[in-house]
Amino acid sequence: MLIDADDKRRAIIVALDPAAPGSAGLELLRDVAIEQSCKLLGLFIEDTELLAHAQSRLATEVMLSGAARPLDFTQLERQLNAQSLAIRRIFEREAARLGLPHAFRTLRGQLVGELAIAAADAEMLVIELAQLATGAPSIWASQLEQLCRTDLPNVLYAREGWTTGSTVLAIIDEAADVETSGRAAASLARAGNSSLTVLLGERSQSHEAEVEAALRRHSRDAVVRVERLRAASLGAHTLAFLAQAGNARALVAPAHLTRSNAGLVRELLRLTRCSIMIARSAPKN
Amino acid sequence: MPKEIPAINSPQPLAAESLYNHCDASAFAFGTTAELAELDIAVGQQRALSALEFGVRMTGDGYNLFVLGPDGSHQRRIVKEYLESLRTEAAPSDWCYVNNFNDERKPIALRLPARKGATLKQDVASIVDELLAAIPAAFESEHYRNQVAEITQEYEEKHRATMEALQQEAQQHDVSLVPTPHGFAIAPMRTGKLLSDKDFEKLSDKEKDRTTTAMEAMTEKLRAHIEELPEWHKQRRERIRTLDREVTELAIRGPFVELTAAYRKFPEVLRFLEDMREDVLAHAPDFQPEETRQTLFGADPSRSLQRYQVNVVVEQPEDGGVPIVYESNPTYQNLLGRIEHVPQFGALVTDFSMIRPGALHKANGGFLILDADRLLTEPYAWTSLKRTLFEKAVRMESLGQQLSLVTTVSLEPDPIPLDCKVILLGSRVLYFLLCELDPDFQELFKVAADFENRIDRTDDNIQLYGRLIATLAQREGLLPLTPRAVARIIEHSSRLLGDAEKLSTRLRDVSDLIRESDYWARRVDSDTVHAEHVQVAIDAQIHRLDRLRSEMHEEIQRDDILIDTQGTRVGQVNGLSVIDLGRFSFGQPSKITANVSIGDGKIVDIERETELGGPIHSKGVLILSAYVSATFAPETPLSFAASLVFEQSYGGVEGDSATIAETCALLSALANAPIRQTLAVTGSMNQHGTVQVIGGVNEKIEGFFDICRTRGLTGDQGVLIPADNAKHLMLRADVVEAARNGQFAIYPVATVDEALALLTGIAAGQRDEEGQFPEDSINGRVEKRLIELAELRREFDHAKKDETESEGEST
Repeated sequence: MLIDADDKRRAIIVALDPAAPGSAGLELLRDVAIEQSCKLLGLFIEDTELLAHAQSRLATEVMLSGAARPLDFTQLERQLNAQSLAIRRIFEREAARLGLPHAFRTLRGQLVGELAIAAADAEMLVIELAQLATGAPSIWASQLEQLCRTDLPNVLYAREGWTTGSTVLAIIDEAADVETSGRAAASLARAGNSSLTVLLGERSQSHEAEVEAALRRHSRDAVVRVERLRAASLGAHTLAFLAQAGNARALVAPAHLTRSNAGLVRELLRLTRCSIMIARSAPKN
Repeated sequence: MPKEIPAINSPQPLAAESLYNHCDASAFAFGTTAELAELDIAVGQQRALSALEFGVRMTGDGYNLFVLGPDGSHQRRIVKEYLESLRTEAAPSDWCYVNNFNDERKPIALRLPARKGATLKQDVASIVDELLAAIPAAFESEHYRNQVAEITQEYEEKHRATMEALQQEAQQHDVSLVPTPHGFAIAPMRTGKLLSDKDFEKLSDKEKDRTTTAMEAMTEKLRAHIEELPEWHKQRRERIRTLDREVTELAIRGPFVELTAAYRKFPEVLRFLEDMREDVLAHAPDFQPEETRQTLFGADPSRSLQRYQVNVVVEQPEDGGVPIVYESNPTYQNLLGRIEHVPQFGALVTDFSMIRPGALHKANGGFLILDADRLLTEPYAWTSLKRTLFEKAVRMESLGQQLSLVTTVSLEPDPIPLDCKVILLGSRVLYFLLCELDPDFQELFKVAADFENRIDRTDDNIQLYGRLIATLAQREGLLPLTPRAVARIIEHSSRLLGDAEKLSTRLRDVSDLIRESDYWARRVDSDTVHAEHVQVAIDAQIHRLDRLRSEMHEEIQRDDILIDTQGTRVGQVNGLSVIDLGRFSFGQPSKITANVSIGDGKIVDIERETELGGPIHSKGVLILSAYVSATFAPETPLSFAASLVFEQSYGGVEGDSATIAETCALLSALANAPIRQTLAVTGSMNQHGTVQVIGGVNEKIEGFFDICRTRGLTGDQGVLIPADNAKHLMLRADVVEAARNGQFAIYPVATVDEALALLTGIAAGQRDEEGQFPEDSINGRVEKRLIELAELRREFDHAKKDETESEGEST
């Protein structure tokens, strides 16, 4: 169902990448969107930094065929336009197939900056990540660190691994994380009919009872299992191991972990197959 | 008693008792045929049965059988019943066709023990079902997905690391690297910002060079990395393919081990299973759920798994025994099988699963029964059957391909070895034609099973025949018959054969009569068939076909066709012929006349001259010419001209049964001796004047009798027949009654002299010691006339000669 892109209803922003035309994120969020009455807003951002390159006569484009040519602005604009049309078609088709209200918009600006502005009031931001198999360069893969540093709502890095896995894994490092990563994970588990596995870091283990009670409230009918982590630190390897061992569909971590570890998301993406959500704020129920 | 003729040693009429061979019903020791046990209907067919047994049991090439005999002998039923008695032998093999994974155009034939084909089909179908679950499960397992992810991530990481390194190197050399829709863009930078064209121009030459060199170097590095990517993709695909094969192999190992163990005694099946296993390994994606499989232009994805099916083309039935197959429609395809096609995207496609068996497949290991005339009239059926028998293998080939009419790709299935006896059913004419004209026939059909037309009418055979009648009635659920009814049928059997001493083996006629007698019995609510019902059935049969006889009889009565049955005529005699209408024959008198005049000894057969006479008839006339020449004036050239004709006959005459009649007419004309028109005569004759047997004697007698009776029997009417035909007499009851009452007579004659004596009332005469015939005898008068004609001829010739000479002198 196409909707007005300026509609101020609760929106889930999907940062579209021509190199990742799949629907892993949409599949993952379908039930969340329906439950929370959200609309989908697909965004394709034309990178002004790229366009600025094209204004230099020295700029060169090395194509995937191996040939090199001067970077032509007009031609680049046409290519971006064509990409926008193509990715719009795919997005609208997949959204319609899933029965989700949706809209599409093309923006021009600095990638992360424009995304941050567009996602400012959004419920969630979804970033589809490309796989090597597609061959085309990914526009978001190179922006991961900047995305982690930017103030964004919950960000879901969607992966094919969502289609398997039996549980949503939530990391609760501090007691307050129950309202960020815990709540977000519960929402995903509920919507995806998965169980919820909660890993309590050492700092939150003293509040285990309250945490568990809060999580059961958030997760409603979802099965909840709480485990205590013995690890000294919640590094990427530890979390990745736990995600693999627990057969996780998604791993939800609080945003403050990425502030202390800028490469955490990249490492988690490298070490796991599941989707990674970085929860920043309490989602609106 | 007939009126007396002069006592001149003429033959006496046959007694009424000898005109019909009654069957004594009191000889049967049953109340009705319901009391009799069933009998093998091959009564009197010992010759044929022993030939069947020999042909069936004889091994060696070419010992197929041709069953020949009169139609209506129930040959097919008898042959089948005989073969059924052999069904205790073990059933032959099942045959299956399976896909040839190395060349799908050449399906492989598998031989299995009886009833094992269906088991193999089921087992293979089961294993495919198992694989449909096991293979997707293996590919959905965490273990597999983790391994694929590891491989993918390894290359992704390589790519990412390379790009990161390139990115860092670019930064170090003040070059920006960003992705574009079709690759990567690089541009010079200074202090973290893009270098504009204007700023570039402000740079020193050295700096410009550095920038340009850095750009070129980065371009090359990017290019080098991009050129690496296809190889990385290929390596990744190879590794995943290897992983797929390993995973598949593990998933299918268990089911195949089990199946292989079950068929360890069948090497061909094991080979097939091994090929199947290899194919499964190579095509594991075909076992994925349908929605995930990619299909070309929407082709049915389930068809791809059809190649693992087993097509059971020959399956032996549960009740076992050798197969006995009768193919009633022996077309090429019905015999050798066919390969079906289905349309797909505008083309016709096929595979091994569309091979359909023919009669030869089904009869393999057993017997195939075919009607020879049908076989020979079907295009390519006969030649293909012969080829198959010579090759001892059933090879399937589409006729279209053989004739090069069709160029679509078709199949070349493995030929199936053939071990089968072929039994052809056909007429004697067909058998002898094939022997004469087809050199392959005697190579392939060495055994002839010749069914008898008749059996002797002995007391034992009468009893057997009675049981045969009982069997035929019981098998069709008909009413039982009384002994008198059975006797009547036996008598009719002799009548159909035209021989009082024989019984016909044309069971069709007997079966029809039994059925129709049953019908007439039921019509009067009888629970048993009596003799009168049989008679009604016989009369009804005749009546249904009697129209032409009635019409012709009427034409004679109305003198549209002139037949004399009173008085005498010179050179005219009543001959007799039979008109055959297929299931019914009747006799009819014909007037035969002869004229004589002076001539050069030629006897003109008017039928022959007008091409209405057949060769056998012409032969008869030539024989009588030879008889006349040899008997009369052996030392004098014949000087007469004669003509013989069947008066008012326009439809053609064949056969020599009128030779005696024609001879008598001619001699009557020569001797000027009138012939009694109250008599008719039939008989063939040889050059010495001996009367020979003819066919249809009963019909001929009845034909003349009917005319005489309609006009009123006078007591001096009758028919002269060859003496040797007396044993064939099975005349109607009214004829026999008339003979008994002296109103009609049947005279057996052995020589033309006897016939002449009866017909003319004058002795034929024998030569005395001086070689002279008695002057008043028929022969004497003939000879005298011939001498007169010779004298006249000489005088004429002399006169003509004198005239010619005098004409010559005057000129």
